[in-house]
Amino acid sequence: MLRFLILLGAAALASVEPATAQLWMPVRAPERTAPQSLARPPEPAAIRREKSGTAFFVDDSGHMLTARHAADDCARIIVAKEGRFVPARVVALSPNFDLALIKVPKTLGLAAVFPRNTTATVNDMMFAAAYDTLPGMMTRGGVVANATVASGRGGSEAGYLALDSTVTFGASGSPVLNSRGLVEGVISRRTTISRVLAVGAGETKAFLSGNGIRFEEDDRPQMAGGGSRANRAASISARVTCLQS
Amino acid sequence: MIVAKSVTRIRSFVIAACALAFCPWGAVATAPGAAQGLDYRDPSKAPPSWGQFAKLVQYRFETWMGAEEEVANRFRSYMIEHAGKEGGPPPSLVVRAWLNPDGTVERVSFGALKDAKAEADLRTILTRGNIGEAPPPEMLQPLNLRLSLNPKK
Repeated sequence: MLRFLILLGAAALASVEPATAQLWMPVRAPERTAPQSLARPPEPAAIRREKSGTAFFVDDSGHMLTARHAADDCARIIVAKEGRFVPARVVALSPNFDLALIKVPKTLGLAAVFPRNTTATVNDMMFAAAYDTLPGMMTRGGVVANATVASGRGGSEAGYLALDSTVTFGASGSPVLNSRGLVEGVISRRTTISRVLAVGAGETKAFLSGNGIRFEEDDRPQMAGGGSRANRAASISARVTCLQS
Repeated sequence: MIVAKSVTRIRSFVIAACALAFCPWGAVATAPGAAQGLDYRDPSKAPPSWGQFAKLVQYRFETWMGAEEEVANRFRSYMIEHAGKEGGPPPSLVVRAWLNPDGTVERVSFGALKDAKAEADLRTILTRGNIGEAPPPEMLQPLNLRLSLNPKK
């Protein structure tokens, strides 16, 4: 596990832009970088451009949430989960937040549950990861948490949840799971070496409600205490690939 | 969609009125009513984590039964050929499932299908994979699922 996190950290270090400003950080002075998309960067436009992120199911009829920047300007969207590949269509793009609602013909997993009352506070342990990294985590016995809620100072925005996290490419649109297995946010983008922004649960629920999606809300634990949140993330999420012509 | 009922006395957790549809035929036919002959717990009193896990098991069973592979294809063919006929399978089936801590299905039991080969195929299908999550440690077992066997031709 530690080795995995170290590797992720190294990947994050290798991916950021040069520093332009300092931020308030608890351990070392981090350096502000230009907000960086967490979707995989487009491949060279030799044959076809594509970008990949993560999406997760929000009901039992195939509606999924992902990051807007992972699903906009796509000629085709493909959702992949456990060896199956299905086409998806965009239902709605949020005008205010980095959110997109997409739909596949039939659900491929468990629907996420959102908290009725958002209670995420600084230092709360969270879990978020790109779908493609989840099998490795589960093979190693699962992961309970890999991120913490950060102070809003130095890089947060209204409506977004700031996280200290090592998630990297492919994590855009990933659900942020709290200790009860509830979705506290949707991963949007990296702002510093260690900091990631996620659209908050309140804004995410408002987006879903505004589009007529009936999602589940509950404040009670949706998984056993100490259970692997990596496994729950794998149950509700999938890889989303945007093919651009 | 699902009604979770269980009883502590007999250590059962029952999902009644939960239906399985065969992919890719699609339609989900709800099996009305609860499984008979078992004492149930009020669904509202079952921990949500149990319900979430039961939904996951339901989804996995549905996926495995709809898989494009030899045993599942054979079982679906049997269902299509015999459903609704005398001596054929019932419209719904209560499956009792025991799950291991690693998420594998230890065993299942269900009522007779009047066809030994179909029974063996269904047992193979339902015990072939991993649910993907560990069952909540405190969850009562076996898990009881009412499967609606309603394939469309």
